Amino acid sequence: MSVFSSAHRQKRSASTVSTDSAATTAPITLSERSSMGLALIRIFVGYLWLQQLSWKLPPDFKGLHSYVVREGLYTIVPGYSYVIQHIFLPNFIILGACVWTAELLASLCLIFGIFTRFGALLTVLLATQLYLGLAFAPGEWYWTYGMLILLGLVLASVPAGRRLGFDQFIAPRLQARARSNRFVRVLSWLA
Amino acid sequence: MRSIRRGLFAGLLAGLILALLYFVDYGPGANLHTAAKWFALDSRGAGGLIGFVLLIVLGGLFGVAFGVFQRGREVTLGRAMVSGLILGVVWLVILVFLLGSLVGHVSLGLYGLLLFIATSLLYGLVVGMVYFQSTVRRAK
Repeated sequence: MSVFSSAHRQKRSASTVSTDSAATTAPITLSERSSMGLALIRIFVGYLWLQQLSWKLPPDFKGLHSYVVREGLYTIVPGYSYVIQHIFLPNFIILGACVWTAELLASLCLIFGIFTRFGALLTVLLATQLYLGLAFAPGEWYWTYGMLILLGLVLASVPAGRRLGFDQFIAPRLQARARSNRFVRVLSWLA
Repeated sequence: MRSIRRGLFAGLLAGLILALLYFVDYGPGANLHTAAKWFALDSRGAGGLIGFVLLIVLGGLFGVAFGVFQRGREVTLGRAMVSGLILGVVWLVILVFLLGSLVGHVSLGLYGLLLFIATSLLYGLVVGMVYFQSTVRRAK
């Protein structure tokens, strides 16, 4: 499996190799074992996010509340504390529902390898928010959230859903239709 | 015979993945113990280990059933995926709902329900995909 996400890039790479071999490196190809390994890592990271739903269940999302309060106290972004205290906390149920849904969506995308890159980018977004809010709070090891961001970035960078995932079925079909339809092209990039 | 062997391999692998996922679980399900409860084999000391082994053995058995079902049929990616998901639903209904909830009175709650639906379907998907992958002749 090539790590390139589209045939277009593969073509570009091949033509570059033929015209200027001194300025290029050989394209990287993932072996079957590496692809399976990536798929397993993807499943476990998805499970990590699924597990985090267990302590902030609807309808009250109770477990999440204390973390949002802590973010308001220890965030490293100027002004974010104001947003948390005056917008997020007064509308906590809406915030909780959005966070819970986003985490559910991200975990299912990663576990089932369906639109994996979208799921991975969603985890990057969620983890970045956690990093900015909680990483420097007392008792926290800031690399925890840093590693969550990095895990998400890794899974967004490689085609991790192409084995043991729906993307193996979806991605080639989307790529085949991507040229004629811009929306499908975006979907194709997210798979 | 070859399809049964492939099914067994796919099932064992998927069962192992499931057992490892439940091993790292710290949610309210305590899922290796829950798996042991399906057959009334749970105990405080050895329940986790029994659940771990049970998941792999059951994975292999369901995989064999998958292989028997696929015998003589043309294997395509789409068909392997769909029949794998059906296997996951069968796993969910027999083990989680019938043996767990109805016979064993294991209460799941919202998170438990979500988790077991997701992991059962994952089991089926992995069986289908590994089975398909084992039939593919790799391009050199």
